[in-house]
Amino acid sequence: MSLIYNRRTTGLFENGAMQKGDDTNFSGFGSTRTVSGDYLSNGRSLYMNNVNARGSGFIGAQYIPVDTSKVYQLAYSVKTITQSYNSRNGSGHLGYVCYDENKSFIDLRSLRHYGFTTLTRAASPGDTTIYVADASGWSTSTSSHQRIFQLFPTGHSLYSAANYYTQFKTGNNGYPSNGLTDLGGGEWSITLNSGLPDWGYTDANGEYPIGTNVGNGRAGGTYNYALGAPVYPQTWTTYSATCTGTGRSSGAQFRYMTKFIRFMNLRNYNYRTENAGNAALYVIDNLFFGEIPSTSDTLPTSFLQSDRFR
Amino acid sequence: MEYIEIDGEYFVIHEDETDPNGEPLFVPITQEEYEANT
Repeated sequence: MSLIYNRRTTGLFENGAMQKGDDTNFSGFGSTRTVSGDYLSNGRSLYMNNVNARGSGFIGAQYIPVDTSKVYQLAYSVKTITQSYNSRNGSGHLGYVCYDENKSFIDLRSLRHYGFTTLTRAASPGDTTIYVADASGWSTSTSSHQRIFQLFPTGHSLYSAANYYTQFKTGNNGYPSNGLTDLGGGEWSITLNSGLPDWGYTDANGEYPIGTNVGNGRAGGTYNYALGAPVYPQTWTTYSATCTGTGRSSGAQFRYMTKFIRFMNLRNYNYRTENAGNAALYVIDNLFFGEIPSTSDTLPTSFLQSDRFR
Repeated sequence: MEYIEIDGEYFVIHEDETDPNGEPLFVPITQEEYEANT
């Protein structure tokens, strides 16, 4: 098996093994640690030394370019250094955050999935009643974050039905939970809580024409929690996943139209409510995200936990 | 902090922790944790 290094460093994380001798790209996570046994490569690890970190999210500074048609391995090695006041190890979700070509965060609310249908009558900015072919799959939940109106315009290079992605959408509570009506004859009406926004990309009549694709955006897992939410042992432990392809994902698979990702950790999330003393402290090292030949060719733990990251 | 089930998945919604768009964070949790808190 050959390792595709992608860069002069191991994998695509810049300073993912503290090669720079500091916490570049991870500033704010904590500090670095140089105690023997508490690092893997380059004499230093990333040290989560905030005794008040109880569930807060951290996102790395680096936007790593991604080609979602390729296969990548994501792997983080973690070790608890000091247990919490009540003998809990470090813990929390590990993964990444997806961004589009403009480095805009890709929220599940922006992805085509639920209630995908077409306009049966032209719609204009300001309209509060929208007519579609089928709204039977649209949410009637009382939760406002499940009731978002999406529009996939014609002629936009990024926001389109074909890309399964749009930023042309209302906010939460875009329509009321009783705002869907089956008119019969293959038509439904959707009553919006505010006038249809003017996103541009209307036709010459200033309308979104019949046949324009629309959908029901819904919130879900905010980030890609690709490596789960483990409790970190007091010995070095490596969490790994393969990442390829696109979908409406909060796991290892990339989200539609992902062009960049960033490191993510929810620090000590699993014991976030236990706050009568210090939180647990832990180290992370040998962060790896790199292209591999196939899902069968993952790098072994023996390498991922070695001192050979450069 | 709100506990919610969406299509068979369980989440905590954190109004005090937001994503890059300023929306509250949705964090997946186990069914056991959900049931213990609802």
